[in-house]
Amino acid sequence: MTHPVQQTPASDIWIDATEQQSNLTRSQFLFWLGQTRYPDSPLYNIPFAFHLTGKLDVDRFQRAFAAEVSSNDALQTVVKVSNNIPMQHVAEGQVLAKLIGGARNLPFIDFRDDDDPATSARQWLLLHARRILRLDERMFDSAMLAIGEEEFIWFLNQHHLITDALSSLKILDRVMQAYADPQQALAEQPSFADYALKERRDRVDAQLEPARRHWRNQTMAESDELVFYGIRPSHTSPTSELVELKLDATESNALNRIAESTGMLSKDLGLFCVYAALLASFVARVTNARKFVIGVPLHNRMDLASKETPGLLVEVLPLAIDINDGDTFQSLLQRIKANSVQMLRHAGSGSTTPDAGRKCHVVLNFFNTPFKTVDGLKVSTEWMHPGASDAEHKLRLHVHKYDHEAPFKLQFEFNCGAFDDAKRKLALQHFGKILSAFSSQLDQPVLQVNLLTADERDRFINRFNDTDTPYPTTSVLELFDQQVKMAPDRVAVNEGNRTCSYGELDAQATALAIDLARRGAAAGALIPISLGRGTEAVVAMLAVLKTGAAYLPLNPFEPPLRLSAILSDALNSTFRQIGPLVTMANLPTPDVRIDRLDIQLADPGEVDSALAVQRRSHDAAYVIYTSGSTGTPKGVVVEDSSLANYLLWARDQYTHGPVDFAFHSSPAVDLTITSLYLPLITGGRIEVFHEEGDQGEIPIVNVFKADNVDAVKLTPAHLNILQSLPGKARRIRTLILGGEDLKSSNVRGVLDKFPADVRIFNEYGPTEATVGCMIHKFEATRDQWISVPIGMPIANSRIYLMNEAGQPVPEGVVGEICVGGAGVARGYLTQADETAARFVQNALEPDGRLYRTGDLGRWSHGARLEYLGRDDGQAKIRGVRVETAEVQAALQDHPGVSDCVVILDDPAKRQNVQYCASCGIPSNHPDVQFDSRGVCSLCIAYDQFKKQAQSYFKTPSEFEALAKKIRSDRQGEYDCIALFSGGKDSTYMVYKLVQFGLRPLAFTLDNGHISDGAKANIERAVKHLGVDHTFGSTPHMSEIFADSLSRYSNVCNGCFKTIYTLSVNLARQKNIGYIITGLSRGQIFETRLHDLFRHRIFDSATIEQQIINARKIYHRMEDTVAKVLDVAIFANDDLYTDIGFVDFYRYWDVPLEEVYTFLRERAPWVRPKDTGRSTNCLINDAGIFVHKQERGYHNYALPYSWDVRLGHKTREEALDELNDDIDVDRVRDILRDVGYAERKAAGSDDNRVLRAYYVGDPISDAQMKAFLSERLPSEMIPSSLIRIQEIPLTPSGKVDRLGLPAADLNASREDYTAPRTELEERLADIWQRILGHERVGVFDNFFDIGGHSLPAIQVISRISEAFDIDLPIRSFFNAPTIANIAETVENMLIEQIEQLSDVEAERQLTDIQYD
Amino acid sequence: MTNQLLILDYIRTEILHDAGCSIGVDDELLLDGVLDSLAVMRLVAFLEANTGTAIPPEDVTLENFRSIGAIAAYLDQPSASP
Repeated sequence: MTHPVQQTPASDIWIDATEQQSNLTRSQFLFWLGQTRYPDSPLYNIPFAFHLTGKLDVDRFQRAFAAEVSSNDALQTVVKVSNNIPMQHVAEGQVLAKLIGGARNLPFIDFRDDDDPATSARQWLLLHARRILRLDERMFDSAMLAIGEEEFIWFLNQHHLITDALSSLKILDRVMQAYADPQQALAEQPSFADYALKERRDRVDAQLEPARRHWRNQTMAESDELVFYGIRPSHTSPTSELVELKLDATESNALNRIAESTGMLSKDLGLFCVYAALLASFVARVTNARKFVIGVPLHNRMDLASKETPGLLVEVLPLAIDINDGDTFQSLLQRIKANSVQMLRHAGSGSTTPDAGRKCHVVLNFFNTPFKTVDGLKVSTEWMHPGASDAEHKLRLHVHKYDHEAPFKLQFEFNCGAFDDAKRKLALQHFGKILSAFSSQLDQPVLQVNLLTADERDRFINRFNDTDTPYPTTSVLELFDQQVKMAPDRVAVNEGNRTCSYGELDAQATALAIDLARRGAAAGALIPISLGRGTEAVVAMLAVLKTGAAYLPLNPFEPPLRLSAILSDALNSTFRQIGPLVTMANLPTPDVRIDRLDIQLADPGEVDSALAVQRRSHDAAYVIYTSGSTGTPKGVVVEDSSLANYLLWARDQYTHGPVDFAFHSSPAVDLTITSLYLPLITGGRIEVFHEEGDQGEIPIVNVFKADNVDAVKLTPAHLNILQSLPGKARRIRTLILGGEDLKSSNVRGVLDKFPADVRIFNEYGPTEATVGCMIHKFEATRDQWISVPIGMPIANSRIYLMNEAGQPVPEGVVGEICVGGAGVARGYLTQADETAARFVQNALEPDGRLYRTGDLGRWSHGARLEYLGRDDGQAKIRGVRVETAEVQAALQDHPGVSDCVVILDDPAKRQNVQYCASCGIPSNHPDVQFDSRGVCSLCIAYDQFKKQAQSYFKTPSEFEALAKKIRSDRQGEYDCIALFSGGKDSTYMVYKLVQFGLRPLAFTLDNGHISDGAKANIERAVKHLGVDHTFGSTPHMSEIFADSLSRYSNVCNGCFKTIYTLSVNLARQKNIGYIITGLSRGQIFETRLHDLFRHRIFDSATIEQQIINARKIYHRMEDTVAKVLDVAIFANDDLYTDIGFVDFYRYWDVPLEEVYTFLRERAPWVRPKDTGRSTNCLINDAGIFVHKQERGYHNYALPYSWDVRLGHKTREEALDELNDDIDVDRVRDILRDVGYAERKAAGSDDNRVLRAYYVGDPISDAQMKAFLSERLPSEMIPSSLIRIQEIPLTPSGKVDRLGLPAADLNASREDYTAPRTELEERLADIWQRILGHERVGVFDNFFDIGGHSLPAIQVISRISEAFDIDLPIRSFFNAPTIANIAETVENMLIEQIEQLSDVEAERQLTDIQYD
Repeated sequence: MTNQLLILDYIRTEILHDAGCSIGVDDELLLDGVLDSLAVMRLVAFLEANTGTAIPPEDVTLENFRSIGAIAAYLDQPSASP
């Protein structure tokens, strides 16, 4: 075993090819492959210890064993590897004699004199069970161990390549038979070699094709990754550990009864299904996988002969498992029964596909283990564990059934990489829970079985949530009152040059409260407040609370339509009264019937303090709207007790005495609650930072620059902005992060911007759980994970990780974060269904109610909760919660939109594609770059070598001369072979060849996908011309296509190569000297010249030579074509000069339109309607689809661009031809037929943006964005809007994201103006780099083309750095176009220069120009 | 050929390889170890191909397949869909 398999990307193909050439059976090959990967591991040892009790005649036994070895050709088999191909053969001569002699002299090892013979023997056995067997010498090892006068162990260790369980037991049978009756010769047994031959024949048996199709579909079906307990091994290893679990009689009987009740063919099959259901349930619960396969070793011995055949006949086949949310054990068992029947029906020698058994990670093995007595010897069988098994198998369950009465013995074989020691123990306990639930109540839902062990329950449920903290029952108003009484003159709010003391604030609030109370505000009323950041907003909130009512904070700068949508929703609620709307004189009135109260702060004078309303703890304190997954925003109703609980906890956590906070975020989001109330209940000051324009959260920059508060509550997006600012804060010492996942790197990036003792808290919590419900204090040395942990629940809060059925998940398994306790909101204001879905009853929670956050997490490292983001359409964009459904609903409101879908997309993965202004090649082709005019590098290069390139092409008169030579060279019946696909180009060519007086043999490859239309064209044309025609074909076309797709992501390469191979063979047979192709000039360029010209090779002799060399390499390549077709002739160098290869269009230049005209007028050629892009072939679209999907661009893009450059097509024709309308369903059918598994593109979730696709009238981006910005906050406006013909759907009816076209920011904008000055060019360069766009026009608004505040800050610092100026942020936000900024920069530079001396100015100007 | 003969012939040639074992129409196929689950499934596939009858997985039960007679009776019943 010294030939490790090379791990190349094409290794699957290599494996298939090796399997085909080897004479191993499919199962043998699989094991050989596994062994080759781990040559030093005993992973395929099958060691048995047969315990023999009674008197033993050793010599008689040795003779019996020798008799078996000499009659069992599997035991005599060895495997040798040559040229990397494993070949097996039966030993002969000396080698065979040695094998039999070894058995005759079976070692006898006597432990009887040892102190503890049994232990000594056990040690010996363990050691020998793990010995590596030499495949090329003797694939078994055996010995007789004596441990007592009448106690022996016969050790027989075989390599799996030559045995399986039944074969091993058969050997035992026969040896015992020969031992019992030495005179009676052993019956001859069928030969394994014969079986292997038959198996290899069966593999190509056409009758078994339906079975193979079944397995192909099985292996191509989507399946979930199996990650047990969240452990993803860093590398695979075959080391495994066996743990035994013996069931008791009661458990065994229960399972037996259930098995019998299945009514299956045999009780064993029933039992098998029972264990498959148990294993499937267990796997589903500890991996979260719902669709996967269980590998099942099937004995494959279906007739009497194969029952007698020694050797490896067993084959591992996948049993499909699919667990649905509502499945009970019973319904799962039913499905497994049906799937088992399907599996068994398609089993059998030669019925499977090469990879059917390769993809199983869980295996279920069902043994009948016999006891027997032979000639006074009692024999019992023990299968030993060699300490290793197939590295792909993460878990194997072996079920041993001794006889009908005895209890079952289960052996769990855990791969040590997938299960560490602790998880192995845990797994057994969890399996036990599943088992007892299953046997006690078959109709209970699989996902609802309680899995947690007592220890897990203690760690994850009890100790983690040990948060009980007694707080006085109080309201935020009482806490505020205490501060008012204690220090009425202390400043409560500072807003520019206006300050407001605690006493004034209280008086103002009371005065407003009295006014509000007069207008009906009291408990049960909801008072909307639409005010920007300022003292008024603080007064209004306190005032509403003072009346006993709840407030609804609105952001007056949000789109009016969204505000009115929120107010209309509130008006439908059960609040007794909505309104009046508290706002200010200059702010807009939403389009909703609601009274308006404009607040105006004046000296309140004497206030009637008799208003004092006692708030109750379950009064609603506020309602805050968040983006809703149903498409409309939803209002979260938070009660006094929840607010008070959060604030009292936050006070203890974050403050010691008065603390000043920055009021810099919208009062309409719950993030801001912390910044408003924590100062007010500690005697601190609210420092107001006003809104600046409506482009993002730039006030955070001012907070940082002002540096006049102690604490800031902010989002990770804010932190990103701070990262790119110069300077350092001295006073800000507390940062509280909330709103979205916090990355450690972001925190580290800002550490040096704050004092060394800055405290950074990660506060996790959705609005529905009142601001924050979990807390973690960042510690730079400890927090090394990518994300900062979200920590522990806050006071009186409880956190659970649940599966979809509300059961807590075990360690490592992903679950939904659910919140219970004091912070859980009352529910949604109007949406009862949503409230019922998210606020659920759960028995675990003492309060009974839980909020399901939709966030995912898992337990790791003991009891640390790891946050894993979301699994639905909700996302945070710049800290704002965005539901794609809400964006979609707004888009759908547009009268011109009939259907739409909004997705979160990663722009890094989908570049904006532009098309070369000259040839139309897309910018995502790897070989091209674009210049500022939008012209590709190939066109530019071609301009330079046009003359040389064109000199490669020849003239029709040269062809005439060549035709003459071809005719005179003729030796056989034909002048040449014309490669005739039936497409437009080759049909035209065949006509021309005949016109030139040539007598061609037209050759067409029937690749199995030629359209009927094309075949009819071919038939008509050859008849019309009177030309002989022949179809070539191969039964291996599917393999060739699959290979071509894997190597090149297209089908054409495989097809072309097959055509060349078959036609060259044909030319040799018929003695034809020339092969003429109909490659278009573009294809000639692409396949023959592209690389040469890229390397500036223009000399025609060199080109001819290079083309021949390339042809040699091409035909001698080790691919599927080389394996399945006869390629012997290509080994001969003379071939390449003996046969003339002529590209017809090298001589003949004709525009596309003329080809069509000719075919229309002069030939009986009709464009087939069923072929998509191609004019003859049905599989072409599959290649295009795969290429686009895997490589991102069209495989015809390059040849068509050459067609354009060479004048064969116009740019528009090429673009039109590249704009395929591919029938994805049909393509997927084809891919399935040829056996090609689509490779999925991996994704990441950073830098995501919203993209909207809509079906309907053409609507300009500007119009659509204007429409949306009336309805949605700026974060929810999609960065691109793409009009499509229809929303592509997957077969299961979901939106097919891969079928959505890549967004094209540039192509959709008609108003592009290129930079006009060098300064604009440099600015455009900065923008393009930061936004990742191909080009930016000088009048493009930064925020319309995907920019937001973070890149804005980056652009500003980059510009400031580049020109050594201090570009004001405001100037950027006021006029965010390149043209405007260029003007600002220029003015600043001039200003600077004016202050300099002439000499310095001169020098600086030079620097700027030539920088 | 009747279904019964068809099955008998299949079992004789494909399973028993004319090994001289005799098998009766009412002999227990499954309990006596003539057929195991895997072999029955192969038989099911054979029957589907040769009788034009679709045999749904839920019909592949001990009751329907316990003997040649039982299988033939199952195939001959009118509810078995052609």
